[in-house]
Amino acid sequence: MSQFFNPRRLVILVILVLLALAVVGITKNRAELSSLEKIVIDSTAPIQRVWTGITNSLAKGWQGIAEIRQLKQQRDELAKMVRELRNENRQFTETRLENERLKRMLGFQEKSPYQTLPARVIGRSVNNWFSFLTIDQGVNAGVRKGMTVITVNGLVGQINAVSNNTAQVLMILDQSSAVSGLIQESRENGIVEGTSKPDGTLIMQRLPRDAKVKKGDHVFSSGLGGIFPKGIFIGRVAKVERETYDISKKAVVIPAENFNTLEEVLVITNNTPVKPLTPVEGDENQ
Amino acid sequence: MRFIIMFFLSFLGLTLQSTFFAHLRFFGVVPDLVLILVVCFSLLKGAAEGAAVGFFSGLLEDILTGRMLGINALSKMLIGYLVGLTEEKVFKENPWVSVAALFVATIFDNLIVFLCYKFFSALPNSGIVAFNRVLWPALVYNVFLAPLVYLRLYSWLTSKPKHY
Repeated sequence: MSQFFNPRRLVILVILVLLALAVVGITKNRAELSSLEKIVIDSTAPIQRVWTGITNSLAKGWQGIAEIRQLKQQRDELAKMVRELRNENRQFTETRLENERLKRMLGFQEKSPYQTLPARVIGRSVNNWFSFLTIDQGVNAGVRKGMTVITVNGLVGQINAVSNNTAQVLMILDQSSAVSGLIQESRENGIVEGTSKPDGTLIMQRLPRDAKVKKGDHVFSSGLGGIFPKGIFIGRVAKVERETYDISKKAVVIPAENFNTLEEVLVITNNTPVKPLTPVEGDENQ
Repeated sequence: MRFIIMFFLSFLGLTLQSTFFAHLRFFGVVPDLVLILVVCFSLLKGAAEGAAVGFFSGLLEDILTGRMLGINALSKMLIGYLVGLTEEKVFKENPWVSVAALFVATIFDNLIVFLCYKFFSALPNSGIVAFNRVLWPALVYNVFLAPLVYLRLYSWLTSKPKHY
């Protein structure tokens, strides 16, 4: 403690204390800051701005961390809502499209000279060897083996097997399928056979050697053989070729219907046409 | 040179108090970084230098507070001087020295400031309540930060200059 009583230091300390107290006394009631004080205070502004910027960033970061959990929860809720709404929207779209198709089918049914039974496609071929469709109408609804199956656009095939509530349709695409066909423009007959090719084309065989068949001609069922009713649109000629030995011609036919997207079909339950069928809207695009 | 650095550190400390630590209040109180700097410096450099640093840093605090000049200059100078008297009697490597010094210094500093305000600016009778409200959180906060500042200052002030 000897330092504390060091006279020289003690005197200086007392002087400084008194000086400080004097300054306090002088400045306690002053109206304005001195110029020096103003300069010192002003000089802190840039540094304070920097600190404030850093502090605010940190505060925001901290706040952000605190909000993450809340945001995650909100995000999950919104994602769930979006999923539900998307699902609902899909269902609405699906219903609307189905409605449009059924309306078209109903219009066709009313105009059709045949008695038809609407059916839904509920299944397709289980292997690559056959081109089948399964529909949701069977014996109970009046479906019988051999009945013709069509759509608004044209011929689909024939009932090949039938159970109480379902039926199997052998499509004209199948290589075992053969339909007696007629070229609308030249009135020439041939046999339209399935090829089971991936491109879904048909071949119209046994056209006369001098047949005036050309690309774009319309092919209808001729009704010969009594299997398929007459006048059902099958497709359009895409290419004409000569058969081996040049004794006849054959034509590549593009079917009127896109069999990959079939959802509803009509089963013709009587084979007595009153007037020939003409393709309804859309066959030009096939 | 170290006076200028200490003065600058006090300046930075004061700006930090008004910005960064304003968001990190402990029971509504910010730490007194100038006091912490003065006490730690005085422990390492003795009474004379401690008093000088205390006086100018305190004066700077007064100016930035924008009220009466001299109160903090007075308290920090006295604290710097008194803490500096123990310089040769404490084990400087031990940061707990700063904890003990800050504990006493915080009480002393708040007491002087309180009395000065009471005496010079007619603090209302409820001032004692304010003193109580400020003192205890300030004690905890200052004591908590003391070793951090002390260790930094210790490594700076006791490092030997490099010779190449």
